[in-house]
Amino acid sequence: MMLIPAEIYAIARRICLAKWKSNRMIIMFPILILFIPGMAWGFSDPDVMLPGGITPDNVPEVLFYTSLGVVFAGTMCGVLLSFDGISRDRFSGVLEVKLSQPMPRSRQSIGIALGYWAAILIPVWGLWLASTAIAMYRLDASIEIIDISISFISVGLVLLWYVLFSLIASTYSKDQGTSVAFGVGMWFLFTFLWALVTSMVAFASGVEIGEVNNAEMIKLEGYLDLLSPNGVFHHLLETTLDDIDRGVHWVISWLSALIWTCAPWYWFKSRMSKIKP
Amino acid sequence: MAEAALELIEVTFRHKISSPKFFKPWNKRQGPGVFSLNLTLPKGQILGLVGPNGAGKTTLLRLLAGVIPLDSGTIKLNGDDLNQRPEAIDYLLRCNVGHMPEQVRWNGSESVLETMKLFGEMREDKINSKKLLELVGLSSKLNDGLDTLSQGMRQRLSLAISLIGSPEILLLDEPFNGLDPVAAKSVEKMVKQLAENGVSIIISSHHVSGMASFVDRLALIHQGQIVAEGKISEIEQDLGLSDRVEIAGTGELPNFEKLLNKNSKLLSSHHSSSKWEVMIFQPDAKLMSRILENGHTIDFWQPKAPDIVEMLCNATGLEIEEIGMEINPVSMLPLRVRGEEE
Repeated sequence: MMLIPAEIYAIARRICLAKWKSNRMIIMFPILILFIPGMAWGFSDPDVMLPGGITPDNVPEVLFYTSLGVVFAGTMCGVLLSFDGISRDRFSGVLEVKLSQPMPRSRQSIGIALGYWAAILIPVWGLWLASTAIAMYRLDASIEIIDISISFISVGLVLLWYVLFSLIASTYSKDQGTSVAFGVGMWFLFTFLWALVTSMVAFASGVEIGEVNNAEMIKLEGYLDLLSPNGVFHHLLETTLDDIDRGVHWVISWLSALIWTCAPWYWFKSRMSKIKP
Repeated sequence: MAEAALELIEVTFRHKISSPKFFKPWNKRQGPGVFSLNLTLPKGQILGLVGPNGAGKTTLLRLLAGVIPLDSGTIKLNGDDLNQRPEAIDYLLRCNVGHMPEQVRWNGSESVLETMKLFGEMREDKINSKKLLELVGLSSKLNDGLDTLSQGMRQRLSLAISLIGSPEILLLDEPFNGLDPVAAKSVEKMVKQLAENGVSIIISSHHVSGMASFVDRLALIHQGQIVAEGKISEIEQDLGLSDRVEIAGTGELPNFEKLLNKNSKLLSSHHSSSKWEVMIFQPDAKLMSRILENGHTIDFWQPKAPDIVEMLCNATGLEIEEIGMEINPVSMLPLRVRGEEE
């Protein structure tokens, strides 16, 4: 806590606590439980058989499949918590009071981003820890510190990206409807429509998309995934798995994670420095 | 005039208004704002800012609060030209200015006290939140959630927050909106006390009927420019609104063309069946006796009190009927739509 300046911590803490007590969190927390530890329980079942005859037999693999819960529920929850992060204060006039304080806008934006990120990160990390424990217990296996660290960092990053994009959208919104549409639309694009985008690019590039385990398609998909937050998230998780190679070096995966973190962060900070009440 | 706490020289800011074109849907053009505006706020004085809706009052206060940047012009704070440090204009203003925006709708489950503490931390000021809340009459609501506050209570909270950090300059945008008459009076009293303690205050209000009694100076703003500024008596004089008397009587309307000397002027007259009312500019000392000597009865003789709406009409060239729908002397205006200027 002391690593963060007191005024940034004060803003982040207030946002985080307010969001935890909000109705949205009360509605979404059971969904998170169902999706994250629920999936971990299912995928760690010794008798489970996934399409393609896959049986997850180690903890990183179970966590890799459980990451679908983070992609579907965690990121959605992050978007729904933060879509009106700026616009709500703007409509109510509170933003004008905040902007008239001596605290630099760059610091205010850090506090806001950290607050919304922490609001979704802490519950999801708690559930991710529970999922890890479930997988270890059910498979009677352990996980290396490096693998668990990578999985926690990846989960944290994918949530940060969605929160930042929702907040950026919120700085542009003149009404709540636009904020919701932008946030949910972005989530929908990267979660559901990205496969369609990938297929279209593959088709346009002359890659055979109907063929199972087509090496060319896997490679193309691997590179296109670097343009999507969910794709980068899975690339990061794949670095903990031995038998997956989609042609993207782990350095490139982490580099794109860095870009996905810095670019929206800079964009949000820049928007906040220019925002008018 | 006392030393200037704040001085604006040729200050300009124009809002960017969406003006989509076929090949450039994001196109924006320059809209209304404030133009080449000059204004001086003396130390420890209260300046009333009055103007029709859309005149630029809120924009001006936001500029002074460091919330929106200047397009051009100079701001001097306690004599220091802030343009010498262009990167820090907004910051220096925010450090020295307390800003109470119009109609803040505080919401959320956080308590009043927690909200005060948050803003205290944002100002890096070890404030006594309870004392400030007591000052604005919110001591009984310390632990109440923001959602439970009435509009008047929210106004008081905004006022308390604007006082955090003991600012040298206080900007109050419509502070009386939503306040009951007793609370409005106590805010007025508090504003006077703050000015006595050396705080310089700009107060923008549609509550024009009560403003004349407690502001030291007045600035009339119209279409982004100050059309008149100074002490009320000075503005009255400049606009030709001083030295007027209202006279009313019973019976026939006296023939004022004969009764008035060459320096006096009949400004208005109204005559019903048995009553008459007139307003005379610069009546001479013997006018009353001349009226009585001509056999007329005078029921009422009183110097015309300062009327800010009239000054505004006179300074802007608008008729009272045109401005009447925009300026409400008892001030209970609807909530502003956010995103619109006013």
